[in-house]
Amino acid sequence: MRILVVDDEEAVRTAVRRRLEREGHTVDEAENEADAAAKIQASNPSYDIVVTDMVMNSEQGGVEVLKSAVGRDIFTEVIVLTAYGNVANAVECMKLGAFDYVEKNIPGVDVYDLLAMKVEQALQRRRAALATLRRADQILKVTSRSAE
Amino acid sequence: MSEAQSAGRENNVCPVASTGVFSCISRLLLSHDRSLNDILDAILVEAMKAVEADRAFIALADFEHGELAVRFTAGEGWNEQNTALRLKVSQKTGKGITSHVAATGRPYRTGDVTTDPYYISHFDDVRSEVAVPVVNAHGRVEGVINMESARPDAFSEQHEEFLLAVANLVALRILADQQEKRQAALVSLGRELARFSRSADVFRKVMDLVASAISFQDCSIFLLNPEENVLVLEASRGRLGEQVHQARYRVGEGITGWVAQNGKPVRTRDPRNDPRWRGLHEELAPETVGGLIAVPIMGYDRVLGVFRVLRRRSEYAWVPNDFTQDDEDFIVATASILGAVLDSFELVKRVIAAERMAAWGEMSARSAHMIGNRVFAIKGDLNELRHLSRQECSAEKLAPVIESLEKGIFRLEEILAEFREFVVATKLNTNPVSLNELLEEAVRESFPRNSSVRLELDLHPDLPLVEADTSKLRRCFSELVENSINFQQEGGVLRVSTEPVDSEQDRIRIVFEDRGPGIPEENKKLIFRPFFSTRSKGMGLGLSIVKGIIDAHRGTIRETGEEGEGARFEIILPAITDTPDAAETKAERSDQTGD
Repeated sequence: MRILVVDDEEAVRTAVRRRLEREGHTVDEAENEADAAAKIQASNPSYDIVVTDMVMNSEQGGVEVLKSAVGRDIFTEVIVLTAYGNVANAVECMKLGAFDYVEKNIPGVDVYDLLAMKVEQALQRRRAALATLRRADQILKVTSRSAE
Repeated sequence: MSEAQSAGRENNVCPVASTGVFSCISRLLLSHDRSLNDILDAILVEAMKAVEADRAFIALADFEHGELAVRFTAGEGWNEQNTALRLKVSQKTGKGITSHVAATGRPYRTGDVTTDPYYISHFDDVRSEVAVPVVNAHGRVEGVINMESARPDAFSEQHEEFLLAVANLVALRILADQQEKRQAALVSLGRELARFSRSADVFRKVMDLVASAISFQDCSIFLLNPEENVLVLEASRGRLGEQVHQARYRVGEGITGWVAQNGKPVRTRDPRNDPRWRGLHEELAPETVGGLIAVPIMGYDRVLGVFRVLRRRSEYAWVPNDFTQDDEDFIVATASILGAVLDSFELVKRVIAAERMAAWGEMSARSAHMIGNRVFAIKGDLNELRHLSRQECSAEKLAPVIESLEKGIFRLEEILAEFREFVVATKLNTNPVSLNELLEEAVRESFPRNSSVRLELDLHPDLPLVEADTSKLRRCFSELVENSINFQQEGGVLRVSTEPVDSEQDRIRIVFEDRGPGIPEENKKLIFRPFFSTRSKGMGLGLSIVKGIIDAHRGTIRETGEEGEGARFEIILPAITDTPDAAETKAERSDQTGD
């Protein structure tokens, strides 16, 4: 599956990419909201999952990335990474349709394993959504044919 | 009627009326371009001519020392010695015509000194003498005008009346001069308020100004320490100077403590007999204390301290030791200006503390965020390590992960170091420092060897020292150099200059100017806030630390460049001013007393 990781810290991008590649995914990186928007726009097929940091050049960087991703493909699932103190923003992203958010610093928790799990769940939802869409499409074709 | 008086009347001569001398004297009195000394000198000569005397002098009371001194002379035979000695004997014995006039406040005239009970001979040729008191608006004798003649019965009643009129004019001129001096002192204090950054400087200035306008022996400033409810000596011009920060009064204790407690001034001619007097800390030996004024230094909503002025008790009964209502009003006015300045210092302190608190808040939120990110990356590396440890893996696979871990931890430590610097930026360990030397050292140290940026140093050769923490200021200058070089990667100029802000030599301006991109108007206010920097190193606390250090030195830093033309950081630091100020005051005082 194709995943885009957006974060302004190289070390963070590298660590996340490495972990997700271990799961067999293909991972691209973007270092800020504008870079992410360009890569999302140019992607074909679109990314299945976008994992984005919340605060980058702007406080609402994650929201911008979410809008770019959904604008390109409504079924792209977005997971927001939040550093300490930005949970409120992440919740805002959920309202706008993000799949979930993951706090970067949870004491005693291996957040990378948690993230890998969330990515898996997000992929399931995307597959389910796409499957539903295909069925709906088929039903639509069948009903329109019988109407003829 | 004395013989002399009748002699004058018989001669029926009134030289005064015919000379038009009054118009001459009144013109003199109103002349703006001459000093008081010049004017009194000229008036004495005119008056001497008008009464056809051979010799004349004006003696004025010196309230600082409590004695009468010959200040102006006219006619033959005067020299330094007889001028100085003229009144010494008479004041001690209470004899002598001048001292008699000063003591009684009434004129005195004799047509034949050889038989006069008060006369003390100074010049062999004297036969007649007339002396009139110069009495001020408070009814006090300010001085005596004295005329002598080699002729017997040389002075008439009209002469005496004429001289009394002259004496009144002289008294008015002296009063006007005194008011002018006080006004000038208050104006000067008001005008210079903004220049002060240390309360010690203000205290010295205030005491100097009061000394230029009121004669006294000594003055001291006590400030209230509200926690302990005691007044602590902060400054004194005399003996108490050695006890600064040690001499204390509890609020309510002694006259000084009473003033602080009641917020009202005390003016007394005999403080030692005042029931409130404790005599704990005295500028003068107790037996020599004369008049005293102690006024509260009022802040916006409370008493901040007490300003007190003391006069020496005169050896001579006729010299008034007490201060006048005018003196008190002047000192109250001065103390209220002082109160306003101290209040403003307090406000500045609070503003700086508030800015610092805001910086702290921003700092903790932001550093938590940054540390969180670094830890997140480190945990990523650990996750990878654990993963690798579960399988057979080669050293090549481990190496980059370990390297990344080390880098992550290094960046954490970098943040900690910067954090520590921010914390200690305002804690100074200061010494008197030559700013030029320090600046040159710091700039040369931090300026790279092979830089495409040209360094220009323009250091004013004659700068006063500053009280500074050398390592902190060096850090601050280095940061500005590094900043400038970072923004001029393609080459450019860094010009570092120093100069006194104005002729007062009490503040120094340091400018770092470059030809880099400059700072956009909208960012000028933000650049000194923590984390503004776009540089990747550390947390971007650089300029906020610079500001913290400059603030702690009681200085200011501003960015005054134009975007597109280059950045211009302007720092102003207060200089150490003790020596020149003290010399200046000395000159003023000796000028005033005409020594």
